[in-house]
Amino acid sequence: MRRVLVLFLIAMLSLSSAAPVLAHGGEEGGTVDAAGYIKQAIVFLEGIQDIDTAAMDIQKAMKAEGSDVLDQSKLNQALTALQKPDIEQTKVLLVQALDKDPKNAPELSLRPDYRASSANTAFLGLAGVFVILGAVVVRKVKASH
Amino acid sequence: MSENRGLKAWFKERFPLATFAYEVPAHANTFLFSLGGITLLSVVILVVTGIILAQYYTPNPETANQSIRIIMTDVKLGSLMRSIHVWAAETAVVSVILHLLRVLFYGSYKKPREVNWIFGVVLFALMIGLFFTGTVIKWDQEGYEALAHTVAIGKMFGGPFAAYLAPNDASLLSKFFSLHISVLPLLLAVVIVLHLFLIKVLKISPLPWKPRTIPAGKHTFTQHFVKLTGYFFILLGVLIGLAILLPASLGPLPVAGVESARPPWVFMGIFSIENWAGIPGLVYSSALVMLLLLLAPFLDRARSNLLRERKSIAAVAAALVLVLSGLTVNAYATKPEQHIGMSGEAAESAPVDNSTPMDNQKNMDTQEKTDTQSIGSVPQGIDKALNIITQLKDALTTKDANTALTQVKELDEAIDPVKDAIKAEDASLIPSLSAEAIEGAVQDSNFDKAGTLVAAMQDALAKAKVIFTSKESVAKGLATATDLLTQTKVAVANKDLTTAKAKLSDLDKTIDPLKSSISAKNGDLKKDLSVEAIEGVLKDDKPDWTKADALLDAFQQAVEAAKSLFE
Ligand code: HEM
Repeated sequence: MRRVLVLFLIAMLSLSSAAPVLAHGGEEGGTVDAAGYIKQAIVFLEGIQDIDTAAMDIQKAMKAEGSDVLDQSKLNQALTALQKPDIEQTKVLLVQALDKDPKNAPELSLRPDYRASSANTAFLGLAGVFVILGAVVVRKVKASH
Repeated sequence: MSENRGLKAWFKERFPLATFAYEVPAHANTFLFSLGGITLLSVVILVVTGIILAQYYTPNPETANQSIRIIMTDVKLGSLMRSIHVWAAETAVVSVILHLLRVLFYGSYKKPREVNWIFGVVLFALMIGLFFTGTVIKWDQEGYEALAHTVAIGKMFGGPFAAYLAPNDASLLSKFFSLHISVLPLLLAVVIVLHLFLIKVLKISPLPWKPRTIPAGKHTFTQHFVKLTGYFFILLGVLIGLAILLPASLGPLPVAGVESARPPWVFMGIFSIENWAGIPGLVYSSALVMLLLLLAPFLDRARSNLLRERKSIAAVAAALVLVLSGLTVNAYATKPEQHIGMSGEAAESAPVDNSTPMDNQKNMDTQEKTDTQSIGSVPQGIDKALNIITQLKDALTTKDANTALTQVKELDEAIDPVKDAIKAEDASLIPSLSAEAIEGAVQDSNFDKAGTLVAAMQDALAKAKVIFTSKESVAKGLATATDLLTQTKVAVANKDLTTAKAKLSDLDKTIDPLKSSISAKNGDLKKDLSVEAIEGVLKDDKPDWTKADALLDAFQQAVEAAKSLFE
């Protein structure tokens, strides 16, 4: 018993004393082109919604190599949208700055919502039937005599 | 009628299902003792939907993400199948964790079930592995970052891990695909069979306490099976409902070198640890948890299964559960750190696949290009030449013409690529950089003359090195200044006075030491590179943000102008 406690203490101590050795902030090596920066900005907005990093990436994109292929006015609009902050609008503008259609650009997440349709209603009905059927079966099982 | 009975008997004899009607303890038919079975049901649903998904999925870094998008939008019932698969993965992991905890808190791993517990821990690891590889092969930002973590962990371990993850003819994505759809499921199947076999022969563990009422009647495995069938329908109904109401989504095509996604909730706890202690923290803490799990039956020496007589093990288990839940909540509440890509390691760790997504390939190309073109490589070239010169000098003092000639040739090759760059800085150094002259002197066996020429070349190279190293550091400083400027601009845009001021003072500190080098090339720029005016504007409690922004723009232009001087 005591051994267990000692082991646990050691475990907790080693966990808590682990210094933040490897965690470090990011500075890119300066190898990304303008479109690359825009894509980075988008994934930062898609993922952890890091507005500051996204804003920096957009500003970098405006100056980086290859910025001539980007729609600069869209980028400016994106920066404005980001300051509101309207993240959805920003993402759309960034994709447009890349000259892509935001409707099916693979640079954006695909997040389908529930859509009311007869097929979906039917599936929901089926799901309900399954749950009820299952519950009946589970409750019916009794000890045999 | 009689014929019918005959057929039934015939079948019964050849497929004796009645053997499954063996008696089991009453508590074996309760929900808590059905959690293992429910895990198994999720696994069955995962296998079926997984096979369907595999018909459409392509494990190729260029098309994987797109192929899932097609499943979600174009394939009939594709989104439903994928969503059921994704949700079943969740129920499988949840139920396997609950099952593990049930066994743990009930002390069901005690003699003689220690080995079956170990099979259980292996099953747990396999389930986590399946969840993880499934995340990777989605091939969106989240999956890609998961893979990048694996590569970083592999590097830490070295050996066969690193070898497996090293780039070769198979893409990492296809390796993970094969793990997800063949290696891990096959192992899972084998270990499940062993697990169930041991449950059958060792029987279900007794309840830790004596039930207050002895249940009347007989409980059989057949009843357990029927009950599980009921659970199957409930589970399937719930999964279909979830899949329709909350369909699974897919992240963006991955971008290398950034960490912008949070991992799935299962990994959030250890992700917190990673945020504090980096990859080693992640590895050691997970290893520790696995080790504690494996050893649990051997650490818990109490005779009784009752929790109150196993207080320390219960406390450890409860604490672990609490700590992991706390870490999970913490990870959702904080902004993740960057652990792997980025920084100097970017070039190494970012492209985790040999056919990388999006523009990574392109980025890599530009990386190579900038490496050879950047001024950083000139000092390196000069260093190389200087090294050769030391050896060449030795050869000249020992009058070893053959060695000297090969070294002169190497020297020529080392100097050639940097000559133009040196010429652009200081053309007067060029005459001293002629390897041909040295070659001629050596061929004439005029070692003294060769020695003088080499010494002159050494001087010229040393001078060039000074020019370039300072140039390089100025360029680096200016790059940092640009970043700080951008950060100041963002702070100004957000009307965040404290950050703006802090960044501005950093900027000042970065620019100040560079000023003399810059004004040596263009005296006019110096006055434009002062933060004073901006600081003046920001002194106000309600500063004129537009003016600050305009001044920052002017500053930025000056920095750009300075940069062009040092390119
Ligand atoms: C794919 C994953 C798994 C499946 C399909 C599975 C299946 C089952 C089933 C059907 C049972 C019968 C009783 C019950 O459900 O409580 C069982 C019992 C057991 N499982 Fe699992 N299991 C899995 C994972 C695990 C894990 C992760 C552990 C622990 C680390 C574990 C340890 C045990 C033990 C010790 C028993 C015997 C319990 C007793 O006799 O009361 N299993 N398992």
